[in-house]
Amino acid sequence: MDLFFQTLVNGLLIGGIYIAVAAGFTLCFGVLHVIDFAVGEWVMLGAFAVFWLNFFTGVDPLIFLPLIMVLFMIVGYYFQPLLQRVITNQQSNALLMALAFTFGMSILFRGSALTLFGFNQRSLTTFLSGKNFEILGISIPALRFGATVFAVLVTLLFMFLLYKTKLGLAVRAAAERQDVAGLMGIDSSNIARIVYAIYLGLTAMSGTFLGSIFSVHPDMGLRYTLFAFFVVVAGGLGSIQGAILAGIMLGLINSFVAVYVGGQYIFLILFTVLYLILLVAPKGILGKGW
Amino acid sequence: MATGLNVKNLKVAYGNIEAVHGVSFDVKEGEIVTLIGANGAGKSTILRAVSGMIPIKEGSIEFDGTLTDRLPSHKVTQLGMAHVPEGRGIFTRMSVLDNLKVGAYQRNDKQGIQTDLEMVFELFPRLAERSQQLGGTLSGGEQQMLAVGRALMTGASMLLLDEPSMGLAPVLVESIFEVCIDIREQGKTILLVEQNAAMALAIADRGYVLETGNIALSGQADYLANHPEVSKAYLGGDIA
Ligand SMILES: Nc1ncnc2c1ncn2[C@@H]1O[C@H](COP(=O)(O)OP(=O)(O)OP(=O)(O)O)[C@@H](O)[C@H]1O
Ligand SMILES: [Mg+2]
Repeated sequence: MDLFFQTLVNGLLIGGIYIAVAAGFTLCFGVLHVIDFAVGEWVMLGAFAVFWLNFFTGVDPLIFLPLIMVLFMIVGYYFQPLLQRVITNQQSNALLMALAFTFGMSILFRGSALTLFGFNQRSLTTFLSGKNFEILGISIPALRFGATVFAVLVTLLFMFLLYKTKLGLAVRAAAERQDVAGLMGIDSSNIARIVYAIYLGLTAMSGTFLGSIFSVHPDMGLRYTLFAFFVVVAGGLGSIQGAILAGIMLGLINSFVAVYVGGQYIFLILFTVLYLILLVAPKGILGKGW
Repeated sequence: MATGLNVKNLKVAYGNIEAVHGVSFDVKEGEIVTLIGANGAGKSTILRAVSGMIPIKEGSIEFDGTLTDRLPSHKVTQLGMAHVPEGRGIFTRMSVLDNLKVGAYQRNDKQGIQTDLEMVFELFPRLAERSQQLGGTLSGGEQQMLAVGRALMTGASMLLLDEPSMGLAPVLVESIFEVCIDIREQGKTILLVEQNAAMALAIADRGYVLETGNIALSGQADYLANHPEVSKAYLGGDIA
């Protein structure tokens, strides 16, 4: 029974980190109608950015979180128009074009990282690394706990932005009907840039945590791309609440499979679960959108 | 400064197919002008071009003294033009109140927004009762009210209405036209596209009859209403 609860807690803690990526990825899909195949590579780049910042300054990786957020938001804001051009030039098959383009990006990023940094796995040590505390006999790793708390706070902030502010109103309008949003005086192309910026910021920050919990290496991304797909499809394409739920579910499945089945089966089981979800609820767990 | 809307030699194409072949018309400040024509004549296309939703191929569009034909729709909206598109374009996943708030997105005058919100609720009490309901769960008629109310929330001086009476019960059709008259009394200008030509001509000052992308006839509303060709094609037979 102890093992069960320990696994449950570990699962929740991992799932907690995924929700920030899930929320951003889903918003990106909802507004831009782009499935970003490079999401995992942005996680990887976020992790490497922190690694090198830490390497050269010696300052704790977690201190760099706000800087990483801002840095990648700027990258996203200026990168999005390029992506936009790919989508609008080929109106006939925008979704496919975006997929091909971001797939190409992911290869480019991974390849460049391999060439520049090599195959080595690097570890990131933060002031929380290696520390544990106990609650009711269950040992809780401080870093994972901190990451989850942080991700939950960021996601709450993100939800507040989306549902309680004027910018959020415009984002939700543009997500549903870009053309009509324009008629309301909303500059949809700028909204798309802002959304992509927020998404990259959230993803790269999560990279910082994932890199310090596991390790930093050029190949780390693919795993998270597949996770992101799971979360978005299982949660119901475009439903942020659904994605958050699916993110937590993903963490739990990860943790239970690793303990009771074996880590090598994770993707097999994950996509079987996805298949079953879609069989029962073709629109995802909360497939009513937002 | 010229006020109102002035469209000259407007041509609009979808891909290689031209849908509007050089149309000129104007709407003066405070007027209700109606565009009538059969299905596919190009009425909605003209409205979309005027509000900047789609690019134009040729010609010019001037609104309140500004050339708007190269502006994106959000800029045109900021100049004071509100377009209620065909099919209403409600944000189905937002509450009625949020839909109205989106309408006021580009405004900063809190006081004015509040006044307009009260005005909209007075015009459409049904919207006030259902302000927390999701847009997508409103009935067709209620959605139409919401679309018009949302356009009013932009604080626009000119409204482009694309078939506001579509799909409404006869009683509601009448009240939508009454609303048009109310809106005009507030000093706003209206360009009205309608299938219901009889009603449209009854409240309009002037009208244009569109046939496959060209203006076939134009003139005062009562002139058009009594014109034999109009009554034959759009008013369902002889009126005399
Ligand atoms: N998105 C589009 N792509 C291609 N052709 C279009 C498009 N929208 C409209 N058209 C064509 O342009 C012409 C004019 O269409 P439009 O919608 O302006 O007609 P309308 O007068 O509003 O008709 P209705 O009364 O049925 O609404 C039609 O022949 C139509 O098929
Ligand atoms: Mg039409």
